[in-house]
Amino acid sequence: MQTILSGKRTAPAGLPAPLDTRKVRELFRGPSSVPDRKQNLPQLYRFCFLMLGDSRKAQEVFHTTLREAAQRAARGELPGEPFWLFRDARWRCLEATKSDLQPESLEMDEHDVASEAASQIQRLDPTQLAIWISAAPDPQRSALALFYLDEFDYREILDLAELKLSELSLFLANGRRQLQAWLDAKFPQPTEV
Amino acid sequence: MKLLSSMRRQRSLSNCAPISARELADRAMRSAISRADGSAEFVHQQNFDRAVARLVRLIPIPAESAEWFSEKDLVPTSKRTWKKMLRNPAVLAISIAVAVIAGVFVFNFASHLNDFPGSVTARKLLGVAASMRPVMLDPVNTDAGTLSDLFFMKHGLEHYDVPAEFADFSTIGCRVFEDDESRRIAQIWVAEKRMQFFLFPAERDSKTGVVLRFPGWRYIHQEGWTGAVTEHSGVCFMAAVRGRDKDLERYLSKSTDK
Repeated sequence: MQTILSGKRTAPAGLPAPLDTRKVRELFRGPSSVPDRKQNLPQLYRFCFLMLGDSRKAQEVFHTTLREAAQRAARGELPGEPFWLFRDARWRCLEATKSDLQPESLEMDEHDVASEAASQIQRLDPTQLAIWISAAPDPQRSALALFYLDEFDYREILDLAELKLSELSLFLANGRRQLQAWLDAKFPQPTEV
Repeated sequence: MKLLSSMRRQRSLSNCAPISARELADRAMRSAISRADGSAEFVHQQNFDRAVARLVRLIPIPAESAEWFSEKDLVPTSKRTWKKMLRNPAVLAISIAVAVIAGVFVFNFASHLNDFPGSVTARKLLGVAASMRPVMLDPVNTDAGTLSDLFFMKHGLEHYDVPAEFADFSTIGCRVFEDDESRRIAQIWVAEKRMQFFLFPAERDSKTGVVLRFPGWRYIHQEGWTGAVTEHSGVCFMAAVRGRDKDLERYLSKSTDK
């Protein structure tokens, strides 16, 4: 276990001690050395980032999740269920923001999704999108983060976020309309004469 | 009512339609998409989702985190070391099995290394010696060397002579019996070290019938008993004693000195 936790590099201030990269890669490599889609680590980091909207916090949760997983692997206690890393990371993200200021349940502006939405989104920075998603109340936040990772099908999202189909549908539809309203406010379209 | 519920479900599913054009395993979702496909609203939703997903994929991975999953390290297979291979239960089991087989083979090879014509019979007779009691023999109190006349006169056994090395030993009893191959075997019990002598026909070539000879004395072992065997005129003589080679060596070296 010591070898897993003791890294040669030094961690940046505030971040957990680095893991042994080789060990971690071996742990989360899929069968026959093919990377497992269900434990896609870059996507796991992006998920943390979308949930928290802050790179430092996302890294902290990401590293803690992997360290915990490595310890469980060393004890032979890795769960057999798929996406357990994402489920674990989600709870850590929720835990990390529990003490933060929570978004008020205000009526947000909603606009129909526009044909030019794609061009508006292209003008966004990924961090702006992450901040917007992370500001949504959970479970809408989890639903949007999981859906836009484009990693899971809807059944998997229902399982991970513990939602019903009608709830997920509502969160996504509302999310689109709210994001469109925000985009319209941020990048106003020239009015047609 | 049922229709309304079905439409509501279709609507819910189309709201959750996958972003990438991956193969859909879910029949209900396929059906919902095929219904919604073509409507302006659904097209806008798909374009919107794709744009957001593209943006999500642009989220940079910090160097500290990226180290854990660099692609160049993910694809190559981990090197198989000897240690890892040896720890594999299957390899371990096979290794043990091979070692046991090799051990048995070596043991058999070593135990038959000193085999000679007649060694199989000699080994069986050592087993007989181990289970023998003096009362089972006809009591005879004489020198072992004189019994060859008795064997010839009474049983018609020619050349059943006790070698000079053991001819002076006082006997307790003797008998003649047939083994499981109907060969006639003479057995003598002597007082010296409770030793037993066996005289039996030497092994012959199965085709020509010629006696298979071997020079000098050969040692043989069975269940803590040791036998010294020699062949003369087509008859094998074996002196058997509970013990080791050295218990018999001194009688044989005596004769050599003489």
